[in-house]
Amino acid sequence: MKLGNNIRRCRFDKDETAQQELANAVGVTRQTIFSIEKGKFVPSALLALKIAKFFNKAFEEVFYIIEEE
Amino acid sequence: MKLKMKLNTIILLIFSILTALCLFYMVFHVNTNLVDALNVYQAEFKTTQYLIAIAYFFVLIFHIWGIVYIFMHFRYFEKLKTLKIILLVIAVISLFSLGGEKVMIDEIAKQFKEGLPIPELNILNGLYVLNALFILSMLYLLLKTLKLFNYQSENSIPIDEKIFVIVQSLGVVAGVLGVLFVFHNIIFIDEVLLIDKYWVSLPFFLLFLTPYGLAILYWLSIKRKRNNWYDEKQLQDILKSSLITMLLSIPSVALFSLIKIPIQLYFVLFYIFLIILIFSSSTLYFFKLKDNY
Repeated sequence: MKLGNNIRRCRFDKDETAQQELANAVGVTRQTIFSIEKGKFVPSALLALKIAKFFNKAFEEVFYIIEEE
Repeated sequence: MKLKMKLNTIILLIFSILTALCLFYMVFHVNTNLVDALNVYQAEFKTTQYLIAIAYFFVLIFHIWGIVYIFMHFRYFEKLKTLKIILLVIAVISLFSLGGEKVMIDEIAKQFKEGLPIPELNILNGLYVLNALFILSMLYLLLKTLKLFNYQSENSIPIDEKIFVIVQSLGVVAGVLGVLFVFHNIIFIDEVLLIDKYWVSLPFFLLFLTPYGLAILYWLSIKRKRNNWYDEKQLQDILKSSLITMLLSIPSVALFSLIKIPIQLYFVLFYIFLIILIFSSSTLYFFKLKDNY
């Protein structure tokens, strides 16, 4: 199982928010946001909730589980 | 924060003009009054030599301060990125060259005393040109920064990511230079000379560490008031790098111990620089490169 996300889409929906802006808002580096978006880094529950809160969305609207065969 | 940066810029601007004058004084005396300037006969110190020593100290302090200032600039301003990267490279090379200048001065004084030709003087002047290039480029950056304060009243977003990358990059540079210098000394320098004069090479190792040390100190100074020193990805990358450092350093040190080294100090130096090299390069790889591809 992997953690998927809709951060890119959420950023686009929220006035095309820049990665740096999101990173500043949740207190991480831009590289971390980039890695999460690409699915290379799994954020902690706290960070994931902060990101969801930034977009005013429920956790599961931003993050979801990818079932692997 | 803005005030702190502005104050730093103004003080460093004045300091850079003083440093330029100091460098000019050094170059002028070395080229016109070599006997006094380099204390060729090593008799009692004269006023010129004291002034040159003070000027040299000024130039050294300016380099250290300049490097810290560039880190600060990276943190506060997005603009002038290319200039800052080029300037940081020049700063590090120019700082290393200060050590070379000291060796060169001793060599020139020795050869001049024995009546031998002194072609090293040209190299010394070349190194002074490098120092001058750094001072002038810093002046340019400082003047540009003062302009930025006028046009860009509020852009002080902490850009910690860049500082983190710079710290690791300088670690890689320091590590490579240190490891190469250890091998250079062991392979190319006479064993007896290496044992007797090991203290001559120590300042070079310290010089290699200086930019990295300054970068770390700057990182500590900006992070000391915060709870989180790293964000969670940086922390994860550092943990992975620590494991890799441990795994790679054990066989490397074991292999190095098979080489016959004349003095144990080089074992310690090799160990320190190898650790820095592996740790910084793997952290940089995990943080920046791995996820990009």
